[in-house]
Amino acid sequence: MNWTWLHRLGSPAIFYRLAGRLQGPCLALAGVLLAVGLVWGLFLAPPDYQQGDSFRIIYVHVPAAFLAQSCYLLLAVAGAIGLVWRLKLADVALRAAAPIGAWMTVIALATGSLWGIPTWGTWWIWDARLTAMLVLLFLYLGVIALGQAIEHRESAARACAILALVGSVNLPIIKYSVEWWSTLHQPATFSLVARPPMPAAMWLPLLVMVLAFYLFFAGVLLQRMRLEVLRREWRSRWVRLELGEEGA
Amino acid sequence: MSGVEWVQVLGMGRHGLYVWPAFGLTLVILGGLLLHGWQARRRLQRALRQRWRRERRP
Repeated sequence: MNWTWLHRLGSPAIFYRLAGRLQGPCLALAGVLLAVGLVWGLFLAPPDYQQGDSFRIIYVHVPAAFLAQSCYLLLAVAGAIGLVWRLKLADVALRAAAPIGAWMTVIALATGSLWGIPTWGTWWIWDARLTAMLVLLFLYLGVIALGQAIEHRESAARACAILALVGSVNLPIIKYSVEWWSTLHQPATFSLVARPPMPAAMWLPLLVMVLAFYLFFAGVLLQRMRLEVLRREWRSRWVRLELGEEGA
Repeated sequence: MSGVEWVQVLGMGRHGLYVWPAFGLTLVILGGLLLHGWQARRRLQRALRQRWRRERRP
């Protein structure tokens, strides 16, 4: 198999230009889907027969929770690639994705708490799923803090990659916590092998919101990665040309 | 839609107190992430141009 395309993509200049072309369409499509999903989920989807309208929080809670976990998986994969192949862009991706993942975890926790008040009668409980999500937030904060605390770039990259890899143990715990322990949290909303346990009028807007969140994440990640590439490569001639600097 | 119907829609069957803050917080965070990226890029571009200008000075 010809892997030259991967090596070409690993070049900061090529990545910067390609990411610049993808970032706009990702964000534009995310905006459209977000608008459709919000109107559909808030006003058109029927209320739940037990939870009433409070169930609509699912349209922001579930996409944020999905993304919080997927983003940490990305951190772990980028960490492994960085440690094994020492690809510069892997560290760039890891450092750029961590704050986005942390904010997604904050959204999942906060909206979950708001949903918990009318449904469970409490905004927080030391339940397995909730505690594992809180641990995920601390892992994200740890990666961010570690990256900022170590001045030497390569040492920081190695430390962040190791923490991302070690922390990935928490991902199956989050996913299976609702099966392994008796928890207040409901089981998984979507499964790859079974139909969603709700009517299409409820899960279709959720699917639209999940797609919108992933596209938004892709757009913002590319935006942050391009910024990080500029910070690291500012001495290169191609950066001066890209920023339209005269006399480059 | 009449005023009463709007109040009912916004009230979300007495769950508006939880639903609207959840959606509001989400949109504020998503908007903040996007805005932060744009502002950081503008700041970095300005800083780099100043640095290059200083380097070019004899």
